[in-house]
Formats: sequence, C-alpha cells, structure tokens
Amino acid sequence: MIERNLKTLRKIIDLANSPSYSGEKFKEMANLISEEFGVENCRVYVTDKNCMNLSLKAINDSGYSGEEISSYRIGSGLVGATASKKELMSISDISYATVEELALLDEADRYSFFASSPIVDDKTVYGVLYISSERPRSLRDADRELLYAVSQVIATSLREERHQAQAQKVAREFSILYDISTATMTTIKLDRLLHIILTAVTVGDGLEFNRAILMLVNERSNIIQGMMGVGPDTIEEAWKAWGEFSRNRRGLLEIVSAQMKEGKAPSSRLNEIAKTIRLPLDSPCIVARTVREQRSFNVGAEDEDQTIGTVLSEKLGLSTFASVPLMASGKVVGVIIVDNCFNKRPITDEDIRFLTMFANQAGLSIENSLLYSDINEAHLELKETHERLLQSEKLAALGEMAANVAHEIRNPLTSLGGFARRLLKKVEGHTEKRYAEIIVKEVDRLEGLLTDILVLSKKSAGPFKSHNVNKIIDSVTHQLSDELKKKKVELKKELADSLPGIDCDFQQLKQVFINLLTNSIQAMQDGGTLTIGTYLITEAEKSYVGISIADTGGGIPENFVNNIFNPFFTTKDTGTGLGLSISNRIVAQHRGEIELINRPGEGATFIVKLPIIHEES
Amino acid sequence: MKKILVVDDEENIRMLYQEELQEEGYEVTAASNGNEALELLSKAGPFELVTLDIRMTGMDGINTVRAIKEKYQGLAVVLVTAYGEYKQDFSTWASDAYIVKSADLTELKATIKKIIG
Repeated sequence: MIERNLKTLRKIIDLANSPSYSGEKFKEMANLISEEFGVENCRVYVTDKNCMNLSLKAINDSGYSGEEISSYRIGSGLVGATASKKELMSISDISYATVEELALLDEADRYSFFASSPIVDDKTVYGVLYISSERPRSLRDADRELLYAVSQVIATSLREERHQAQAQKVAREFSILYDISTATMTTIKLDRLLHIILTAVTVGDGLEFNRAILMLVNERSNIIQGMMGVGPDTIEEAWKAWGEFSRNRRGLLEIVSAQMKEGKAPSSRLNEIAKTIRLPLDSPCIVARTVREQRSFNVGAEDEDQTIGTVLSEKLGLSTFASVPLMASGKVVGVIIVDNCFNKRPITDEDIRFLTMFANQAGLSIENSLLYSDINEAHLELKETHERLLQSEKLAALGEMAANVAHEIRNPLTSLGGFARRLLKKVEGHTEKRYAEIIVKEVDRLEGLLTDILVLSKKSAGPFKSHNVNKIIDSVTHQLSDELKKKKVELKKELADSLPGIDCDFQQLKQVFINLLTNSIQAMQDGGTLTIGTYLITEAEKSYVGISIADTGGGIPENFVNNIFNPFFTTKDTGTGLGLSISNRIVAQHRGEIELINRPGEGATFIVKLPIIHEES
Repeated sequence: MKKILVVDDEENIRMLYQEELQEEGYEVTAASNGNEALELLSKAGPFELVTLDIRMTGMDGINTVRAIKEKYQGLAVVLVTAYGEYKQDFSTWASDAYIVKSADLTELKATIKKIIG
C-alpha cells in the first residue's frame, strides 16, 4: 500500500516538474489522481487574487464539467468550505451523510463519495483538490496521507506558477515603462509628447484604459487646463479600434512612430472637449484635489461624496474614473484622468499603482518639455532681437555709405543741372530745348533720390511734441486727395474719437503715412477702397495708438513679404525702394513698429503702432 | 551794385553761381577755399553776402564761418551744402541761412534777395 502510494506520489511529482503547459499539467494530474483513487471525478480549483472565489483550473478527462461546478465562493459548498477551514473534508457514503454535510453538497444527485483537500502552504490557500465517485468509498488513513501529499505537491506547483506570473507581470510593466520612456524621448515638443503619453495610457500594449485626458497646471492663472484627450467617442469606434489593434498588434513604439510620421493629432470629440476644460485650482472637484493633495483618486460610481466638475461629468460622462497626479521635482505639473467607460472594466488598485508609476515618469518628460519650450521661446526672442539689431546696424552702415556717396554726387549734379537750366534759357525757340529739358528733369529725379537716401541715413529724429495722430492722418489724406481721385480710390476713414496725443515728429510721421498711403494707392491700379483706421491698443499694461491702412490691391506676393522693409527693394518701375524702409526707421525712432497683415488675393494691411509715453516715464 | 563772395571748392559750381547771380544783378567774386575767401574779404571788400560751401579742401566752411563772424559781424553768410540733414544744426547757430545744394537755384536766389535785397 505504502509502496503504491509512493509510486503515485512520484508520478505526480514528475508531472509537477515537467515543463509542459500549466493547463495540460494539471489535467494530467487530475487524470492520474482519479485513476489512482478509482474515482470518476477529480478537479483542481484555484483561488483568485483576492482569495474570494475558487475557480476550476483542471478536470480529469472523464469528469463531469457543468457550468454550475466551475466556481465556488470561499466558504460555500464542499469546495468552498474546504478552503475556508483549510482541512480535508470527506463523505464516504451519501446515504449516511448528516444534514450539515448534505447542505454542502450540490452534486448529491450524481455522486455518493466526496473528498475535498485544501491546497495550502503555511500561509496561503492556493486552491482545493476535489474528488468524487458514484460508488461509496471509504477514505483510509493511507488515502488521506496520499491526498495530503498530492495537495502539497500541487501547492508548490501553483505557488511557483503565481511567482512566475508575478515576475512576468513586473517584467512586462518594466518593458512597457521602458517603451514609454523611449517613446517620450523621441520628442521634446509638448503636443507630441502629450499625445505619446495618452497613447501609452490607452493602447492595448500600454496601460489599456479606454479613455485618457491630460490636464496641466497653470500656476500663473491658478487653473488646471485640459490639454488633450485620447480615446474613442462611441462604443462602435471603440470596437473598431480594438479590432484593428488585435489584427495588427503593433507595439507602443510602432504606434507612436507611425503617429509621428502621420503628424496626426487626436481628432476626436473627446479631444475637442478636453481642451475646453478649465478648473480653478481651489475647486472641490476631485481633479483639483488630485493636484492639491498630490495623490491619486479612484472614483467609483457609487461614491456619493466625490465631487466632479460639471464639465467632466456632463460633457465627458465621467462617473467611474481615476485621477492621478503628474509629478515632477516634487511638484504636481498636471493630472491624468482615465476611465473604462466602454468595456466597464473596473479600475483596480493595481491599475492605479502602475498608472502612478507611469505618471511620475511622464511628469518629468512634461516638465522637460515645458522647460525646453521656455528656453526655446527665450531663444527665439533673442534671435529676433539679434536680427533686428543686425537689421538696424545694416541700415546704419548702409545709410552712412549712402550719405557719403550722396554728398559726392550732389556737387556734380548741381553743376550738371544748373548749367542745363542755363542752357534751357539760352536755347529758347530752338529744337534742342527738349534735350536740355530732359537733363533738367532727370537731374531733379536724381536729387529726389539723394534726399530719400539721406533721410534714411539720418541718425535721430528731431524734438518730439505731443500731436494727435488723427490730425496727421487728416493732413496726409488732404495732401493725397487729388491722387486718390485720379486713381479712383475710395477713401474710408474710421478714426477713433478721443485719442490721446503721442510724442512725435509731426513731419516725419506725415512722411511715414504719405509713403504707406502712396504704396497702397499704387497697389490699386484699377481703383479700390483704402480704409484708414485709428484706435487705442492696450497690451501688457502699455498703451499704443494703432493706425491701420488697408487696401484692396490684391496683397503682396508671398515671396516679397520678407523683403518689403529692406532698403532699395521695390516692385515698382519708378521708385527708389526706400519708402517703406524710411517709414520703418522713422516708426522705430518713435519706439513703435509697423506690421504687415498680408491677404494674398485680397489686399494688404499695414498697422503702425506708436506707444503713448506718459509724462512720468 | 551789391557784392557777393561765392566760396566753393568746385570750379563748376563757382562758375554756375557767378553767372546766375550776376544775371540777378550782383557783382560776384569767387574763392575756392576758406583762406582765399578771408583774403578776398579783407582786400576786395566790402562784401554784403558770402555763400559758403561746408566741405572744402583747405580751410573748410565751418572754420571759415567762425572766422568771418569774428571779423565781419554785419556780413551775411549763406551756407550752401550737399549736407541737407544738418540744416537744423547750422541754421541756428552760425549762418543767416542754410540751403541744400541743388541744380535749381530758385531757393538760393530768393534767400539772397530776402537778406540783402
């Protein structure tokens, strides 16, 4: 007997140690046990993670397998009772069973003999080994010993399996985290980074949530701002996405790099809504609390006391969700909100743990990206300033050179033109008079050009006095009224009623507006509408007077736009190309700026902004 | 006949001004730099008006105008120069008028007429 038991035990141990697939292995064991004990039925049940339920793991080939015996609550039925008592229970013959025993049996109509042995080590209940047969059978001590020993072997096997699963899970988490960190390193641009992060949270190969929304803390305005949302809008879309995913089974890195290539931003309604969410930091909403209390929340539908902002609950239909802080350098930079609104999978503490781990890493990436964009902004500003400096230096150098050349030219021009005029007087009545006239006219033109160049080279504007810009505009439009009529240009003036005066050189600003208006009029060869508006602008606590000059002359060709303020650049046959350059310079001397709003095909609008400098400054 | 001294280092300009101003009824003498001008002022005077170029080889216009104003207080000086942009600086402190050189002598003539008739 003992010998036979030892043999059986050896076979079981061999099976336990065999490298075969776990399901196979336990089935083989069940077959062997049913054979050795001479029973029709042998099953192995295992406990779930929370030790609440037992579910069928293996059954012998000839055993009964109905839906009703596939799982037991701990404490319920013979199997459940064995797990909770942690001791072997048996009924040799149902005919002699007590009332209590009968109450435990749900297969009383099928079998007469039952035995149920706990699969335990000193701490954990791993499951229950259950055998039953139609014929009554007595369970001798040797049988009990064998059942006990077999259960021990199965316990060891199950423990090992659990450890392995745990190790695999940790390894998978690490691999996901690694993938995510690699993916986040592919970009420093915030919008792309956020997209990668949310993709990681939602794809099957990542954290597997149905939807994810990312919000960032804006410390300056004390709000939390929705930045992006990723996830399907409807259950149909969700199914389609999952179907696609399971067909192509691409890894996170692949998905992200494909998205990068397509340059695709999430285009869902969810994303649109996400961007509109703004929550005050002191709001009682869970999301705001996530930031304030620097901890995550797992909000169940039944949690009554959990407050959610109306935007979140009404527009996004959030009811069961989790909210996790994005941490960087000990500070909350944002929040990730996730839910499983489509497949209704409950969010477990395990999910939260993993999401938190991920969020810490994502928080760092986001902070890096924000810092980078700050630096980038500062860099761009520097570059712009540098370019402006270069431009003004270039102009100054050019101006100086131009001035020298102009002076050298002026003397010979004076004698050339002067004598041509004398000639003109002397040849009165001769046909040669025309030649002299041409010389006089051309010299006049050259002198005009010299004047333009010399204005450009002039170093500083004269003494400034307070003037009303509307008056300057009136004076300019008055001067150009003939020209406007001649070119069939309709003038619309939209001047602000009460503009404060600005410190300026009246003549110089008049020159600026003459240049701008002349350009606009010349752009409208077939007539059009010229609209001049003045208005007050307040920007960053500074006030400006704005003057806009809009024409309907078709706009400036794109390839010219960058050149229009350069000296000597012109698209006109007759023109020095200095008009805009001079205007720009004069406006800069008034600490103002000229902007161009080009509407190709329609027209161009020049906006001159002049600062109102108050007495105290 | 009122006497005008034209000071310019360019011969063509001297000739142009001389001829044009003579036709306006003035007696015109010409000098090619500051030193020559001062010499003529003391020897061939008295003059009623001097037209003076600023940038000249030898003694330039700025120094000449100073020397003239020291010695001949009543003498009118009209600066005629290619440097249009300094008009504000010069007209106020030294000369009686400041004219930007141009082939069109209308402004020059009008200015002279206004000062000495």
